Amino acid sequence: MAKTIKLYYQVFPVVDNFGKKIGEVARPFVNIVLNYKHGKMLGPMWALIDSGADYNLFPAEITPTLGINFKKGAPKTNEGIGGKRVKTYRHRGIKIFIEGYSFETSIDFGEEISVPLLGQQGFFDKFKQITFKRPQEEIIITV
Amino acid sequence: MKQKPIKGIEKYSDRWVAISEDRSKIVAASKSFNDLYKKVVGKKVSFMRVPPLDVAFSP
Repeated sequence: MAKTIKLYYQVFPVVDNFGKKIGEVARPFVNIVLNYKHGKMLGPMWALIDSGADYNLFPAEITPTLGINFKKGAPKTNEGIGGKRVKTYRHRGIKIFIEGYSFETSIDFGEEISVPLLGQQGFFDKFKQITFKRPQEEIIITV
Repeated sequence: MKQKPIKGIEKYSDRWVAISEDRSKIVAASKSFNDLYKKVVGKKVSFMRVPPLDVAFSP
């Protein structure tokens, strides 16, 4: 029988140039825990489920804590909005834990990546279904 | 259950923050993840790189 994980969007304030709150925006941020080759457990860490990202993209600055020498990964190039290309290094054998479920995957780490992104290859493809219920601000993951 | 913004997060656009286990407050912040991690090691917190809050975020 399929198991489902129910998660919620996180709401962020929107501020003007002076830092004054002028609105709110809900984003599908979820808590995950990372582990590399039975080393240190890192997290919970908030990551954005990004259906538009081909791969998992994470900031390189977390790699020392995970025990990863990030430039020893497989070099890749990622292009984002506006056509900007950034260099990343792909590492395999990273375990992601999410609400009691875990799987092994790869993550591309880059010095120009700020917010951790969970993408199509390495996150979405690890589940039977991911449903975004935007009016309820819910994310339903079927494993 | 719809979530509310984490209290005080508007002060930390584009920074790393450590959030209390009950998600009620920010307990530490830094521009660098490693600095933040050292500040809260051993504490029950979650780590977030706050997206920019004064512009639309389209990664």
